[in-house]
Amino acid sequence: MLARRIGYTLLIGCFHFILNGQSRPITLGAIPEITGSHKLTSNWSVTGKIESRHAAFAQQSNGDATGYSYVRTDVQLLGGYRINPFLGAAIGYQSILHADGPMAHRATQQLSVVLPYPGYRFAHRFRTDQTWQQDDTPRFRLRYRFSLELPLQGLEVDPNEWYVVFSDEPVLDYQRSLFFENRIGTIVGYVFTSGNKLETGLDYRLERIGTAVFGHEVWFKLNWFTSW
Amino acid sequence: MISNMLNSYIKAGALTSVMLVIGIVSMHAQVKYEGEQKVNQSEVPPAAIDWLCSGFDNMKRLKWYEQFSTGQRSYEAKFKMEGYRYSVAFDTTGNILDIEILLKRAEMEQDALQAIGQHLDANYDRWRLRKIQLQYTGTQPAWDEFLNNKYSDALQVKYEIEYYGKKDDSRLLWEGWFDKTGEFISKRQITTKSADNLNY
Repeated sequence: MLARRIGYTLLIGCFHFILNGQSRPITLGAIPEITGSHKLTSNWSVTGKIESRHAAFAQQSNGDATGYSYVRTDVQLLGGYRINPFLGAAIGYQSILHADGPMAHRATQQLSVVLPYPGYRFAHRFRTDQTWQQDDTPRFRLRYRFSLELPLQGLEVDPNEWYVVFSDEPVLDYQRSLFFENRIGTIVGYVFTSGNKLETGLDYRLERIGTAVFGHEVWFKLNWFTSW
Repeated sequence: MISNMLNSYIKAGALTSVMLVIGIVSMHAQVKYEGEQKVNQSEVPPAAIDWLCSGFDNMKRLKWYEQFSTGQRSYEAKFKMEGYRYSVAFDTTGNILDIEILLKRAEMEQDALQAIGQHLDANYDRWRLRKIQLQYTGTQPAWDEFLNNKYSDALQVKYEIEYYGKKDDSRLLWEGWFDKTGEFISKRQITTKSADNLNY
């Protein structure tokens, strides 16, 4: 029963991708991540994140295809403040180390709300970020993500239990002109201890919607969350 | 080109290895385990099932959970009946422990609600009720009377209230217990579960 629920969740992730056809530019790859959080006081915390992006396959709209390529590694540090048990704010800095090209710098600001109910939690995350890179125009983004977390073995997600997370994140992106992007996530997670959980799943991105370079990206995500 | 590919694989492998090592070391930290897990009815003491079926008719969406708390175990039946959400707790031998019914603010005794509001006003700068439950506890004779008559005056009535309270710089979630008149009994802080995966 549990295995069936996990399988259906991952299948839903694949379904979004299959619906949109194969004629657009497409990138398939993996993003392993590790996120570590430390509580400094009852209200202040610091979170560090490292993620690395690897494309296993990329095809352009003209049909040219490439195999494996290392894309980039992001190193992020955020300072968080808990306004109340449900609402938090964070600001941070991210270094984006591209495989080719100069390093980019990103500033991030966010507000997030996590609301627990018996049998589920849902979260709203509002984020803005600004990215600068040598010899390139600055990039500005406005993002909103809705997430729904469902425990698979009880009313809350406890240690030694599985859960799923469904999320959708529309992104408004401005760099020389305005673009719209949408990201859909279907994730399966397992809590080892109250401070350690592992998530895996698919992150399906529709890039530059409504433009000539509209394309798909499908990333297999593997994320370790640790806190102390 | 081959050396570039090898460099890429080495970077990916190194990052994954670091993640795994940090994860394995973190997993060995000792933590207190408290929680609940859904169980099949076949795993519940038969005495608990018999008591529940004798005490309640027309239960809808009945689900059983095993509760773990600092070395103690119990079983809880959750169901809907006549528009209300019920939780009925039993010990591991099937003896009833308590009945809890989820209420809306308007369904509470208004005098008790007013007394609770006055207590919270006196102790917090700002507060908000999140969940109200009516709780019945009692002795075995009181529960036997409940089974026979579907009601018993001998059962003790309390309110279990989940609320958010702000006092100075402290903004916390609490679980408070009040008697049937709204007089404060005790409270404990509710620890919210980590939400890093939803926040970041």
